[in-house]
Amino acid sequence: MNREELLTKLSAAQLAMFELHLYLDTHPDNDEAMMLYNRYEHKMKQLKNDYEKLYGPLTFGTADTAADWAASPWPWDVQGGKC
Amino acid sequence: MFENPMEMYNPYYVASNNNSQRDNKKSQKYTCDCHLVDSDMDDNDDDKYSKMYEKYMMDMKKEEKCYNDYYKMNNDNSYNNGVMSEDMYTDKNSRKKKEDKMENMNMSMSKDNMLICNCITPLPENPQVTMAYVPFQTKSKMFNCETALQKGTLFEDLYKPFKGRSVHKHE
Repeated sequence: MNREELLTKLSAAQLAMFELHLYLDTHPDNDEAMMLYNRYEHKMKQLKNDYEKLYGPLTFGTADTAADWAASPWPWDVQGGKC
Repeated sequence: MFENPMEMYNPYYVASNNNSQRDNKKSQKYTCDCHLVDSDMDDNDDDKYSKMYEKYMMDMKKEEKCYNDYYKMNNDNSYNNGVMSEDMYTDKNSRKKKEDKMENMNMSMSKDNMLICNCITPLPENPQVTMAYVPFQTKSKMFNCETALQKGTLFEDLYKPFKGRSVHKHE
């Protein structure tokens, strides 16, 4: 899986999480939605982990040093602006 | 006098050749020649953070076990030791159908991909004249997450592409 595919998958998992978050705002008692949310969150964490192992920090919080963060590509460096 | 002009301006600035034991200990963490010291930091912080980290790892292991148990319970092989397959949200049968009908990819979802809420009716039972109502989302079929990213919503009912005319039902 290349960098862009991995990023797309990560974005997709994050979107699903956000959508289910909104759904849970209006359907707070829906356990199934809550479970799905947890599953997507788990998936997102794994994808993020995988991405960061391969391509460096995604957010400043996960960078070991400021230099690592600065050296990783900026949003305008990534083709298609997906970041 | 200040040896380095930075010391004059920033009270938290500590040069790397500081002789105090505490600062030497802290400066080992940093690879830079100089760093800013957080004034709130205590010497006990290292212990505190390592304990927090241990707790976090424990929680993560518990969570992992939870998922494994859940999938074992449901005889779902799409989740093996924490590795999820891409199509974990569709069951095997629907995946086969999906392969058969590639053009109807998004339509062959398993029952798991439907969120159902029976606790409330879409519209009030006794609607009042002059009042406007928004139907409540009760049965929600879902796209898989990558389709959702393309369409801009996870829920099929909420996918309303603009077509420049009034559309009752999307194709």
